Amino acid sequence: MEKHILSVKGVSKKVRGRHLIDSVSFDVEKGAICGLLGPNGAGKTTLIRLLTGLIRPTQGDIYIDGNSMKTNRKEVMLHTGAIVESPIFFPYMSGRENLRNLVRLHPNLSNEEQKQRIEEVLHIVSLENRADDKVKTYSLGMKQRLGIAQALLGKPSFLILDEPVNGLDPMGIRDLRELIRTLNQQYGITILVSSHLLDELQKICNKIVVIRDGKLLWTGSKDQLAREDQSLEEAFLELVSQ
Amino acid sequence: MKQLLLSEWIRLWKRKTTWIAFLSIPLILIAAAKYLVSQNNVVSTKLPQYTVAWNFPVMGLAEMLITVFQGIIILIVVFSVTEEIRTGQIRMVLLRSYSYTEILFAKYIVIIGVILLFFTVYFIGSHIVGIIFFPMVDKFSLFYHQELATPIVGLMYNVRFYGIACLTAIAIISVMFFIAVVCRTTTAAIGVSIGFIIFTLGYPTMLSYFHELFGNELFVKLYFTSITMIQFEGITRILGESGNEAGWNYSVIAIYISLFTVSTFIAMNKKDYFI
Repeated sequence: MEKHILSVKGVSKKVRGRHLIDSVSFDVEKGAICGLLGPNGAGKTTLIRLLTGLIRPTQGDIYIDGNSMKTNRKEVMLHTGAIVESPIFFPYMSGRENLRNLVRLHPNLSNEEQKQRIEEVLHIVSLENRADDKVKTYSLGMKQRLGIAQALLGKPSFLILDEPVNGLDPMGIRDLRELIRTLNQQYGITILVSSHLLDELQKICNKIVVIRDGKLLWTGSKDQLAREDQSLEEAFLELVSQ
Repeated sequence: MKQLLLSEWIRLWKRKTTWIAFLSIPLILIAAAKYLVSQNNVVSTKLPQYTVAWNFPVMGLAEMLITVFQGIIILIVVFSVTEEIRTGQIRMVLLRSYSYTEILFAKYIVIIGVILLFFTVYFIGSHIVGIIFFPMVDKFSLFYHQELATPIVGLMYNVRFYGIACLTAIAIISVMFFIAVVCRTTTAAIGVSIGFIIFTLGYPTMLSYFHELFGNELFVKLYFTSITMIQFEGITRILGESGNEAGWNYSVIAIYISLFTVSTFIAMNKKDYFI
């Protein structure tokens, strides 16, 4: 059985002669909550686009649960849920209609199972009460939660969240943190979460990947990166200033 | 793939634009009927331009095909393709186990389905409006036909006219789809699409100044390289007794569909999508 749910092997992405991602390799173990760190423009979202197959690497490959993104993206995406940048829904539909429209795209689910799955994910993200409202009336926090709900529709074993706390107020951030913990601990989902809010990552992550200028700067457990007397922020700043 | 088609179909019908387009059919038909009633006052009853209940479906479509229908196609394609790409809405679908090619192919099929449905409703509605507004004569003239037509012959003619009109609409959808995929903004996509329609209306008129230079045969062929001119004049010529330029016009329609479908496929496979 695969020990790693994610293996990034020598991945590069070159656009118009410029390396957006340059020979990045790292692994994420099953069951981990992995924080993807990097200053603005480091290449976090580009890396996440590569991890979800939205763009193709110039070199290298990505394996999720042993399946190659290059040759088997369909299988990879069956078991992977993701939010890339801010979740953008079809605004002329309600939250439930959006989920109903998207759950159809997961194969082998009967009509009943689809409905049941929608109720499950709405319950997980606590959006049952607003599910029939148009998405354009949702707050940012609700959109983020609906974003997570849509990512959970296929019962993924691996969840990729790109800057999920962006723009949220402190309560929204706390709720989302709890949700991420629940998904990891109760539902056994491995999570990769990118953020520049280091305090947040310190609270939930047990593994850290740091990139800068498209290159891997550091990877390992959170405890290896930050000494006991150090916050993650201090350790990160020390690392990127080297 | 069936589920992807269903998902696209439902999403298209959740848009107000689609419903407005369909609900406007009676208004379009009544406007066309009123205009043609006024035209009947200045046209001889023996001419094919004279509108009766049985030829109204064709008379009421001919001009709408290059105005209203084209406009509806542009709006539906741009909102369904460019808008979803530009805003990132399409990412929600792309993050499932479907490729970009499959998603756009599903959109292409669904848009064709919606437009064919539009034609069907328009066809049925135009017969009803025709009977209400125009005389139900025993025989009437058809374009490029010596013999007068009976209502049954007229009905068959109308079916064939709408069939060819649907083919030209698929050709237009193929062109608009290509434009919608390569344009970065909805404004650009709408602008280029309208520009294409104006260009295909304009260059045949320009060519007519050089009619003698080209000679009749070459001129007619060049004239009917324009898909909008095929819609405007070509369909009636195809359905004429001599079947003038039928082969050429069908070939041009086929070339438009295949050329722009292949171009769309190449365009969407060539670049990465930083959506």
